[in-house]
Amino acid sequence: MLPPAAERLVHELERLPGVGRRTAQRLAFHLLRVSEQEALSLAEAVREVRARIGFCTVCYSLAEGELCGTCSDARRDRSQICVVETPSDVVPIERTASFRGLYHVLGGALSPIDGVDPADLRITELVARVAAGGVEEVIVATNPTMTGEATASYVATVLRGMTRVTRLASGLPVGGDLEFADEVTIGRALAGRREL
Amino acid sequence: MQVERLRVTQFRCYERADVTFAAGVTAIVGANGAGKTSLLEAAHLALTGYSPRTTNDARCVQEGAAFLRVEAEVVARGSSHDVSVGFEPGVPKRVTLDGKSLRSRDQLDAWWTCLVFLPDRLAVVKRAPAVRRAYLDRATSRLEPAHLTEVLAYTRALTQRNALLRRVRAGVTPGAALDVWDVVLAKHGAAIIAARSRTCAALAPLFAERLVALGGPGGSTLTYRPRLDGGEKDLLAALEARRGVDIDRAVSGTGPHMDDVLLSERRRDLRVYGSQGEQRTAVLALLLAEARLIVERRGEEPILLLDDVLSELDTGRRRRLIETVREHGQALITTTEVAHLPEPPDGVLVVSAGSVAPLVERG
Repeated sequence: MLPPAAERLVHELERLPGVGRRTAQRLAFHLLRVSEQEALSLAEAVREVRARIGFCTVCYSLAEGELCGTCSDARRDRSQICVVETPSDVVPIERTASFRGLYHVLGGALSPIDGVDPADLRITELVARVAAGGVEEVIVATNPTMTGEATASYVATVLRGMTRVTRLASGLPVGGDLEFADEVTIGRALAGRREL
Repeated sequence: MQVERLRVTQFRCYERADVTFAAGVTAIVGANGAGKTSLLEAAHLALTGYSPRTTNDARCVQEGAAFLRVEAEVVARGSSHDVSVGFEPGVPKRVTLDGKSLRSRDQLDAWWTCLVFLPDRLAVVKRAPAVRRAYLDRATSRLEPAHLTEVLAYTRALTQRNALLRRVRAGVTPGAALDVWDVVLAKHGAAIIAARSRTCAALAPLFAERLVALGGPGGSTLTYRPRLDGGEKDLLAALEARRGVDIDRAVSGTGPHMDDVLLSERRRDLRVYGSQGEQRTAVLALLLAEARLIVERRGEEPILLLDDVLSELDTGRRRRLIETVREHGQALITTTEVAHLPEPPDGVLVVSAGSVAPLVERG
């Protein structure tokens, strides 16, 4: 229906997460309608990001160059490492501005049904970082899902005896209404209650 | 709780129906295929947000109609409520309580309980352990809502562990990768075993008592038969001990997914030795035991929806059943003949070809 070049663009856009056929078409028509310069600047941005952004050689989060912004920042506290599943998980933790340590991105979570084994995650790299010394605490911030919890307990096992390992608490969202929370969340919040 | 009124629009054989229910036992009378069970089903849908007969709501929409709607007026915890369920194929079901739309039909469970008997519920006694486990988990969730989440979590962990067993057997992954999944499985498994045994322990004496009340010979028991009893540590130890066998077979061979519940009368397993009538009585005793437990725990009796309970029972058992049901408050009971009821019910609804009418002035 569409000329082959346009069809190819639609097809490529459709492969993006959260984009279906219709959205892909809308985006493609949009790119054809705007000025050539505007359309090409998107293409250039894609090219540039692929050429310049790689993984940090220490923590495996996104980096322009050898080290990411966090790892190259001398003011960060090197005695704490926060372990997350994906590079995008770094963003919400950084937004809190209350964590001053470094990160370690595992690159996923253990999930045998998806064929993800410990060897597929950057766990040996994490062990090596801790073994190198100076790490007083590893904070496991994998998602509170089944695969995230399994990953957390695996990380805790391999690091046992090497350093202190803690897990992100789970409980009620701030500003949320108790009435709307599910039983599991409330149950965990109860289990993790604190003295006032 | 009590259902005072039910309005039905384009539901199965009903174009429209508007009925009121008596406080005690209401008999729904009609010939085969007249729509007795459909009326019970509509009441269940209005009260719980789902049909007890099918998981495909589209089947409940009247032939040729675009949507269905069921509404009920319910008195619960001393105040009256309007609940309505609307469904149009292809659009998410809409459940509203007192004019407010609910996020999920599960929210209705916090307000009242509806216990239903359909002839296919005999499977709980007759069929494989999986049916009894499913029943036990439903009953447990009605008492402890968090149980359902544990069961889902356990099932997911089991799928992961079995997938991993296949990978280990194929030599793709070292066996040590099983450690974490054993821990997850043991954690959820132990929670399930504990909750199931709490339910069985509470149900057992009530079940025995109800079965006698229904005319059983006595000496009946309900026993939880966990494949593996114990806490998280025991489960973990058992999983580790079985690891070799599990890898060979690539399937997890122990845990609450293999539990059973034994229902017996005078030391005979009702599943194997029970007659049709005895099995039916046992399922009803189980339902009435649960009703009693719900009254104890929640302070309010559930409504009982009983489809075709009187068939296969002798006159004595029928009389005792109705007497016991009466103690429980409100019940809707379908039957082909009003004469099957041992005593006059509190209300009679006559169903024929998609219309319902109260029977006027009985003699």
